[in-house]
Amino acid sequence: MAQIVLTDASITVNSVDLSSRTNQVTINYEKEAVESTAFGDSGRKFVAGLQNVTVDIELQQDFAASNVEATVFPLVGTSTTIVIKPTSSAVSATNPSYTVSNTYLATHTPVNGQVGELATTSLSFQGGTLAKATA
Amino acid sequence: MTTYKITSDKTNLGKPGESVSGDDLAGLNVEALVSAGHLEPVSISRKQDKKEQD
Repeated sequence: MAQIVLTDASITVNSVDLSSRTNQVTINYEKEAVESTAFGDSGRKFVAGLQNVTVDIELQQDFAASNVEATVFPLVGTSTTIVIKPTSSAVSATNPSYTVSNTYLATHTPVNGQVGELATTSLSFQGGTLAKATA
Repeated sequence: MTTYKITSDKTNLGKPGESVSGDDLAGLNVEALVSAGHLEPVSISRKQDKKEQD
């Protein structure tokens, strides 16, 4: 398997394909480390705790009907499902899908940017459960 | 169960004009989809339909 350069990542938020307005995406997947060290151990030990998932998405703002702002604004303060793939091709072992269910949209920046620059919005989803699929 | 008509071409739920309901929308924020113009609730009143046929 070769390295991959992200040129065609697929980003779907609440079933809406926002790939053509996205230029950055990051999935942070963590299982909290719950300490299980006991007397007699010679070093600290841990077991897996709850998933701690965050997804950060950078979008190019678009106020057109049914586009970025219309899709994202009503999601703030609610939970939804996000699906992210490395490419827009069908799900496979070399193009897995990452579905984050019940993730909470905490942050949206409807107007953001400097003079002369493209207007963007930064989304930060928190929590939920991540599932990876390869078929 | 409420049925919704797809009203935009940006959702992966189906093509504009098609209907979705129930399981199709599990885990999604339906209110946000309606608010954004991706879905439109379809009201079905069977009693009213029957009266109209009579």
